[in-house]
Amino acid sequence: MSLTDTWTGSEADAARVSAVLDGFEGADPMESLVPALHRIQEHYRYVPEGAARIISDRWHIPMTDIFAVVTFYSDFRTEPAGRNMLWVCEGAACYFMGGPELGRAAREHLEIGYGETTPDGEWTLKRADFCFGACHLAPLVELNHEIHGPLTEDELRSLVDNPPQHQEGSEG
Amino acid sequence: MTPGQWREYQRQAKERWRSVLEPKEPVIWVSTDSGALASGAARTLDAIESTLRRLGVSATVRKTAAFGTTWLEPVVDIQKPGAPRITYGGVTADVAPELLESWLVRDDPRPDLAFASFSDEPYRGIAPLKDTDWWRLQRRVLLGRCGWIDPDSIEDYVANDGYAALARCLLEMTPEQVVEEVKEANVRGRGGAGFPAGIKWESAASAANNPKFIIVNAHEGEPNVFKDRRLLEGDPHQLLEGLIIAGYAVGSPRGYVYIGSEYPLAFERTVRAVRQAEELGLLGENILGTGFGFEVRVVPGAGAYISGEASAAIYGIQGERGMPRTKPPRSAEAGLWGMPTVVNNVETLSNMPHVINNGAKWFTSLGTEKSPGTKVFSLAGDIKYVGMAELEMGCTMRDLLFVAGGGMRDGSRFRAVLAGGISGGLIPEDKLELTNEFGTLEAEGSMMGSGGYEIYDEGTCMVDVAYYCTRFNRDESCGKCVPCRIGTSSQLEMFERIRHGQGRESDIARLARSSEDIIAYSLCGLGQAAPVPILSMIRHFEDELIAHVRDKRCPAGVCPMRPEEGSRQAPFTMTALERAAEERAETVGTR
Ligand SMILES: Cc1cc2nc3c(=O)[nH]c(=O)nc-3n(C[C@H](O)[C@H](O)[C@H](O)COP(=O)(O)O)c2cc1C
Ligand code: SF4
Ligand code: FES
Repeated sequence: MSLTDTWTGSEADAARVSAVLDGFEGADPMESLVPALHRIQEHYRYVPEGAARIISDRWHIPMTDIFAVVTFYSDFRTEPAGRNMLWVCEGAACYFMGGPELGRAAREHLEIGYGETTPDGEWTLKRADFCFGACHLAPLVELNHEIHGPLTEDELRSLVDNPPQHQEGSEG
Repeated sequence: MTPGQWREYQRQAKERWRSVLEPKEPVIWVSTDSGALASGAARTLDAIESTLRRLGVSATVRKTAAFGTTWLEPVVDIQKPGAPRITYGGVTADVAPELLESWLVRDDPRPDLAFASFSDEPYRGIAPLKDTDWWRLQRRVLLGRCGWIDPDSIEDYVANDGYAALARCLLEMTPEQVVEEVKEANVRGRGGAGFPAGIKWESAASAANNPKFIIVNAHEGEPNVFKDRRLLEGDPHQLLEGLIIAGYAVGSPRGYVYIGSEYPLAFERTVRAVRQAEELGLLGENILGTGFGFEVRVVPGAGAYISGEASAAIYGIQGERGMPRTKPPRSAEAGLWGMPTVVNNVETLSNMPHVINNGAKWFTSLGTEKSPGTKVFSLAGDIKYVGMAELEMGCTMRDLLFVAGGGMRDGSRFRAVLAGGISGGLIPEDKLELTNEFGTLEAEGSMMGSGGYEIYDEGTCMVDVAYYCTRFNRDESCGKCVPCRIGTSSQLEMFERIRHGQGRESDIARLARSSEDIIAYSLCGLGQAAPVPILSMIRHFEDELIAHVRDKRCPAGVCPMRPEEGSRQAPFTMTALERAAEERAETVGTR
């Protein structure tokens, strides 16, 4: 996916972050902080410190307050996520229907723990404690915003070996 | 828009809707909520469109959402002129072409694929919906439009009595009368606590400071609750109308919808609904020429369950860490930006248009005296009909699970239901005559909460359930108070030991005692409810816990029951809290 970029701290990066902030012109900066962080993270797959500095300068929000928010909410990352994001659902339906077993298979197959990214930057593995609202498909995983379930451990491994190529404009 | 223009718009919308109900060509309804999309509804939609082209059949394809038959997704309904609407389940992209060809070309309605027909009598081998177990006890109020209207169409909503209640409030009622009606209806908060909405509105309305704000709590981060998500995905204008009514009643110029980031589709549909209402002039300045103005902002969360607690949600919207604070002051006095603020759940506000349209008398005729109205339940786990059902409050647990929920899946036997989500308690089989309403399940150490029920069969270990809930609460604790932060961690350690065959009999008393302390000394509902599943497990399934700690055996065969491989943990270590509790018990004992 070429939708994301690597943060280098270049002028182009600074301009991009500024453009994101321009989109909140006229809105309350504090009310805009979380939505702006979401936008920035969508682009860089984490919240780069340099981007936070630009927010801090433009909106006069102390860095410590931005850092407090970034570290509190589980959505935000201070390190880039892998190009593929794999969530294993351990919500209350999936947990009791094989979620933890899928989780173990995923950890062993990718050789990383929950919350970690493979050294080649391809995969980030996360455990979801919330529910994807698709309990009828338990146990399931979400790969790059698409639900796959119910899955066996073998099916999960082959999903990881051959992740579907994401098509532009497809729903779900 | 003037009142006259509004009435004209309403008339035209209703007229167009008639052509949907009495179609001249086949109408195909495709469910497209997040549950349906997860099952492949987008591919089904493509397949339907290409099949119609291939067959050369002209038909209207309508997008709807969330009828509630989630276990059947992808769901497709077909209504042919002269025939009733029929619901089909499991219509994947592979099945869709065959179904369309059979029914639309060869006139075979395919009873083998059908779930039910919208008719009074069976239709060519297909049971009427009203006779199915799933439907027959339901009382659809909030879900009334779900499965019918296109959630992205304000016109569909208006054609089905949408915004009529708002117009009525603005044109015929004073704000005080609206508050009075809601108070009389006794609409209790559907976010879990059951606090009467009318009283909350009244105290915010009479607070001295201005401006006042309304917050819709659509955070819903609980692991088996998905009713607010479905309400937003299926009928976002219903919530929006309730929100604007609240704004008018309280005298507020602005509302916020705080939506968990796990809900991108609900977010998208809510934002679209707001745009449409603005364009039509039902939001903005001088609504319907009455001088009342209202603005709505849709705000995303960022993935912390605790930020769904009302005071935490306020900090979340303010761009701060979403952590609860001590009360007083209550939000109705000092909430968002220090101003009087009403925080209401999605389902609570979705009730308001119905209360205004039909009156408080009608509302209190539904449900029970203490809990009027209906409740939308999310049902998941080992039952047949995983999905949503809306029943009157006061329905028995047995009716809910074994009729509307379809009973257990083939080959499995009921063990318990975890009612009230992660902060609720287990209810065993001999207590299924309890009724679902505020304040009844508490007698058995559980609660209705927000109506997310998880059903377990005999293959589920009740100790594992308590462990799971404790793990969730430990992970989601914001860490502000010591009993919640350290207490849940320490209980989790005990459970880890027990699950790995290293528990001791004294653990039972230790779990119970620490639970009581956590409940007593925690600031917010998370800590106060975290031990509830543990206590209910001890209360109803102590035998099973004893088997774990005394016989080192997990009767359900779920827990590992041997030390974790490579674990560096000593076989038994007492946590600081346990030591303190032990010491305290000794002091108390010798006094
Ligand atoms: C840990 C915790 C999480 C909560 N999460 C939600 C939530 O996601 N949605 C919600 O409406 N209420 C939630 N509540 C309840 C709210 O604090 C509050 O009672 C509710 O939003 C009030 O609205 P109501 O009176 O309309 O129910 C939560 C409470 C606690 C303690
Ligand atoms: S009880 Fe727990 S979640 Fe609630 S404020 Fe205290 S530490 Fe935070
Ligand atoms: S618990 Fe996994 S989707 Fe609901």
